[in-house]
Amino acid sequence: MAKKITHYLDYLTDRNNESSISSAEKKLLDDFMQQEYNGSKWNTREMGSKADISAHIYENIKKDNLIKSTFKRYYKYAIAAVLAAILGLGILFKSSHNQPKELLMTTASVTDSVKLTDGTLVYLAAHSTFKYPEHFNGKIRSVELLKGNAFFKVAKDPSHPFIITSPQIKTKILGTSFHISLDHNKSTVTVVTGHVSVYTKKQKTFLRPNEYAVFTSADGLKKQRADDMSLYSWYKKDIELNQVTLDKVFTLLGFKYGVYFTAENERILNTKITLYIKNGLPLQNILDQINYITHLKLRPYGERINVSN
Amino acid sequence: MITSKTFESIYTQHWEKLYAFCFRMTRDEHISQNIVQDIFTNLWERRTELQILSTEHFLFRAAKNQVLKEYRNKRFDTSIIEEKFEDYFIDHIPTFETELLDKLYTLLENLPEKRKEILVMSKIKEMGIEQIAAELNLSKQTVKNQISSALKQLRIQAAETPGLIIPLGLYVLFHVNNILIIS
Repeated sequence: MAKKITHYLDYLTDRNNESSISSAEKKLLDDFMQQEYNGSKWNTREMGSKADISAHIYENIKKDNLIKSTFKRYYKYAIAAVLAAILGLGILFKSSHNQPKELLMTTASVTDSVKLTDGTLVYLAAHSTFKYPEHFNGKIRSVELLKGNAFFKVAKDPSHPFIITSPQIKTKILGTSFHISLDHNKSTVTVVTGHVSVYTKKQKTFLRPNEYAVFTSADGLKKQRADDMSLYSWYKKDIELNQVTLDKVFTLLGFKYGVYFTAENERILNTKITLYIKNGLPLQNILDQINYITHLKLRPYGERINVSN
Repeated sequence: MITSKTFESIYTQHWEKLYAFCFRMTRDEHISQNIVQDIFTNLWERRTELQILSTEHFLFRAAKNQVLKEYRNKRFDTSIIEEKFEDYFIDHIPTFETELLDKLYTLLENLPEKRKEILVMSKIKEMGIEQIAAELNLSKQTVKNQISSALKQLRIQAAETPGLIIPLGLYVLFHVNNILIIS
């Protein structure tokens, strides 16, 4: 009788394949795979650059399938916006026809950053998606923030305007630092240094430091003064918050981790705390810290965190 | 029905974990990329007919099946996933159904005294590795190693149905102390 020596896992997968696996064996195999999946996380040291691999795979999928790329549509908006800006300024420019390769950067539960070829630094918050070309060519530097929060430190180059296209708004910069926040139906641009113009299909506004523009489909584009710029330090490696209200702490954590907080009552939000957020700290650690200081209960439900006494 | 816009957002939301999972199991960049690519290509091709309740579950199932397929075909270093499986097995013995262990037992190689052997798996389930180790006066690691090596050496009939049993397997465990475990 021919026997072969085999690994138990090999035996299970064979039986699984022939559908002759018992329910207990199937459960063992499934539970094992599920646990491994649950424990799977990106590891840059082992897996390399997330942006590169994502872009590579997506390119291949597109090549196979002729998927109509949605970002081409954003491009049209961007080009229209640029044309409008240029007509206003009375400057001519030639748009480049050979677009360089687009790279996609997506964050899950932690922040990430990228340095673009022009020297611009982009800090991407958790749960955000950013698209940028491998290198810039042509008169404009065009990128896209598709989802979430990002802080930009744009390298100064007045002859090459930097334009960020988002589903609802376009932001044009000559060299400055600012924050963009995309919510479900609200987009906000807050300027820290320099000058920024924000466009929608119909409106345009010009922002100076400590000002922000907020766009909602109901109210259109509105300019306002930002009262606390320290909130826009979320992208920094280590963050020190000294006697800051929970309201502000939650706003900052919202920017950084792509979550939002709902408090049981308003009083909670006025509690002042002192917090030190070390680089790369998972959100849960910070929530535990806040719980330790305030004895408040912070319960995450997906992207929403419920705060109660 | 999936539009190209929702497809793109499904991709950005899920590709990373799927890739990380494939890489964890195969340690092979090329295979991992291909699997993720195939899953999404397949999703796109079937976008009009698919009715998906949970996107993540659907994609994970596809990734799992692909990883197992590549494993069966020995396309990558199988010792990685096998060692993970052995660790998982050892950690979860107490949760297994007795039926599973009984069946596994018949696949393990025959030991000199069959009556003894049969006690082993159920004993491990009942007592836990720690207690077994204490009773056999072995280190926990040695007991774990014994189980690992047993899992590596199933003897099955080449013609599909797993059949009769031939010596080896947990042998060493008993060899060390062959009076034990008889309750």
